[in-house]
Amino acid sequence: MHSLPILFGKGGRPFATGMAPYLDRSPEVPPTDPRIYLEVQPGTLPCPVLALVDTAAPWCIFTPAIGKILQESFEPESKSDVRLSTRLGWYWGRLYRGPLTFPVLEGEPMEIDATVFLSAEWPGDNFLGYEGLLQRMRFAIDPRVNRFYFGHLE
Amino acid sequence: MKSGAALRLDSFSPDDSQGATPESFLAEIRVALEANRVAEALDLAKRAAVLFPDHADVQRTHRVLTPGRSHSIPGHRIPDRRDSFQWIRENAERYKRQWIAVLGPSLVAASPELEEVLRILQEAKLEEAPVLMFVA
Repeated sequence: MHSLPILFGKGGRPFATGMAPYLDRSPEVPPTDPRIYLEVQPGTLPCPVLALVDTAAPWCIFTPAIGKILQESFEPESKSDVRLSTRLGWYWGRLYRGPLTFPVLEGEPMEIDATVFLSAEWPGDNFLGYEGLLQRMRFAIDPRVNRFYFGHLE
Repeated sequence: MKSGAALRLDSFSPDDSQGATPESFLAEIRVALEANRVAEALDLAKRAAVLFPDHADVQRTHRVLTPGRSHSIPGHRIPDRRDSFQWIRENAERYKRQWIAVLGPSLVAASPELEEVLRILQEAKLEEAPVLMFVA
């Protein structure tokens, strides 16, 4: 599919081909915590779910309830669990590969083959991490109107 | 700090495995992952994938860790979420540890169980996709 840019970078080159609104967290949330919620539709989940954009996290992490759905179609990295350090502490789980789709208000939706960490013990929210996902896309925000722009790397 | 298979293969050559085995690579990758040394884990996975092209576990680990590609896809359009996000800001706190689905300015479903919310959404046959959120 030929992507038409909706945001341009230096020299008029395409930067973003899709845009979605984002929700920012309340001011009561500690300033060291991620603040931007973006909609993402992982695997076969029938509708998009809000996940926190976290460039400090290496992998995407989803709640156990979503993990249970994703494990049916995502490919596991290994046959045994690995113990990973997260912002909420150490958790046993597995790394998986599967598609995450970013729906749009304008432009073209984007799907990325992401690496996600799924743990039955995970007590927190859904997160979009850096090495496993965000590093594979260009993105920018407009905080004046809470818009998240994204585009392909190549 | 590199160790084990990574140390032995600092001057990497596909013909020079220096006695490293798929199991030793996988063990080193695990150590790197648990230490959040993601770049090292990926480097080890790449090397192992070249050395052991027929080893299923090595190839799977390489596939899962290698950064994925993106592509545009059709569909997946969402409405303007201003009303929904405003509802969430004002009301989500009342639904702690629950899944909520909001469309426009209205709550469509709420439950501690995701399956129940998804069942309600399926029965509702909504024309637009609601936004789903876990109130942590």
